[in-house]
Amino acid sequence: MPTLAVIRKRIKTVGSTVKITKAMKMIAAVKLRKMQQQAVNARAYSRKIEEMVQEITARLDTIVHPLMRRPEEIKKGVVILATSDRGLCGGFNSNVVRLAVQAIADARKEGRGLEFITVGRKGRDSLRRFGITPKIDLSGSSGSPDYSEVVEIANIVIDGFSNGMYDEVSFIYNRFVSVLTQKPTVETVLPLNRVGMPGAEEETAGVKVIYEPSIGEILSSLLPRMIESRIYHTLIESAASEHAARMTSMDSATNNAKDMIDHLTLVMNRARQSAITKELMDIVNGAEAMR
Amino acid sequence: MSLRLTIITPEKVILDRDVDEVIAPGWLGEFGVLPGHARFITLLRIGEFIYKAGAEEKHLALNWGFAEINQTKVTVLVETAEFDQDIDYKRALAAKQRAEEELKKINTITDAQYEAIEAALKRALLRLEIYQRYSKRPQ
Repeated sequence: MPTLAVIRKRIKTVGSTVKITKAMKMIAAVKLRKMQQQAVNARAYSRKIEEMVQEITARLDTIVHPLMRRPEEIKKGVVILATSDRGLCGGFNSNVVRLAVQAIADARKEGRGLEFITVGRKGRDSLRRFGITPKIDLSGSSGSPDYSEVVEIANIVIDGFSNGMYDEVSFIYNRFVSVLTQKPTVETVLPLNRVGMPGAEEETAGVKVIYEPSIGEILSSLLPRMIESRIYHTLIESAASEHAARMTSMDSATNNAKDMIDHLTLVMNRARQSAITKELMDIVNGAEAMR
Repeated sequence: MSLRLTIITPEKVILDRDVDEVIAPGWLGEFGVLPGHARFITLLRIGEFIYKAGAEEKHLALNWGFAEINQTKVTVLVETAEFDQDIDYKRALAAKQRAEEELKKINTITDAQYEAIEAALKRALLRLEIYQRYSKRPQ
C-alpha cells in the first residue's frame, strides 16, 4: 500500500488536472457560442447569394461559366481537410483523418489523382505520416476562421476547377449536428449540384429584370463569391464542431478526474486509519513492555 | 412608402433599416433609388454609397459588391463597407502610400498585380476622400 504522503501528492496532482480541464471546458463553451453567433451572422450573406445565383441561372439555358462545367470523368480531385490546431478534443481529428485516408485509398484504387488543402495543424501532420504533403496548409486559426483565409482557399480551387486541373473539389470536415454529436462528413463543393444549374428552377414569374452590366457578368462575379461563402460556412461549422468536441471531452475528463479523486481519498483514509491503528498498537505494546 | 435597405457582408449584416433614398456606385455609373424603382440587379464599383432617411444622411465607403433593387427593397451584398466615422484615416493613408510605391515599379509587375494595386489605391483614395469630406462634420 502506498504511503500517505504519496497518495496526498497524487490527489493534489489530479486536483490541478481538474482545474485545467474545467477551465478548458468553459473556454470551449464560450468559443462555441461565439462560433454559433458567427454562423448566424454569416447566414444572411450566404442565403442571399445562393438565392441570387439560383434566380439568375434559372434564366439561363446554357452553361456560360467555367465554374458550372460538369466533368465527365474525374481525373484529379482536391480535398479540403478541416481539422483543429490543437488536440484534447476527443475523436474530432481522428474521425475526419480516417475519412481522408479512405479517400486516398479509393483514389489510388481508381487511379485518380488527389491533392489536399489542409486547414489545421492536426490534419497536416496526420497526412505527413502517410507521406502526403498538402498543396497548401492554413494552420494556426482553426478555432476562428477568417475570411481572408477563405479567399485564399477559394482562389486555388476556383482557378484549379475552371482551368481543368481539378475535376472535383470536396470538403472533409466535422458537420455540427448538436453540441454532443459531430458527424465526420465528405461534401462535394464542385462541380455544383443541381441547385445553381440552368433549368433547376421554374422561371420566376414573368417580371422583367434589368441587369447591369449583363446577366453573364453578374453571374461570373457571383459564382466565385458563392463558393467562398460556402467554404466560409463549412469552416465555421468545423470550428463550432471543434469547440463542441472539446467541450464534451473536457467535461468527461473533469468527471473522470473527480471520480479518481474520490477513489484516492478513500484509499488515503484507509491508509491513514491503518497508520493510526499501527501507532496505537505500538504505544500499547510499549506500555505493556514497561510494566 | 419607404425603402428597406439591407447591407450584408460575408461576416455579418451591417445595416437593416428603412430609408427614403439610396445613391449607389453602379457598374455603369452612379444611380439613385427611390421607392417604387423597377426591378434591377447590378454590380457595384468601389465607390461612395449614400442613403437618406428623414434629415439624416449617411455615407459609406464600398468595396466590390452587388445590389438587388425592387419596389420596396434595396439589398446590397458587399465585401466590405465602412461608415464615414469608422474609417481609419492613418491606415487608409498608409495603404495609399504603399500602393503608390508599388506602382512605381510598373515595369516589373504583371497585369493582374497591376489591377490588384490599382484597386487597393482606389479603395484608399475613396476612404480618404469620404473621411475628409464628412467625418469632421457634426451629424
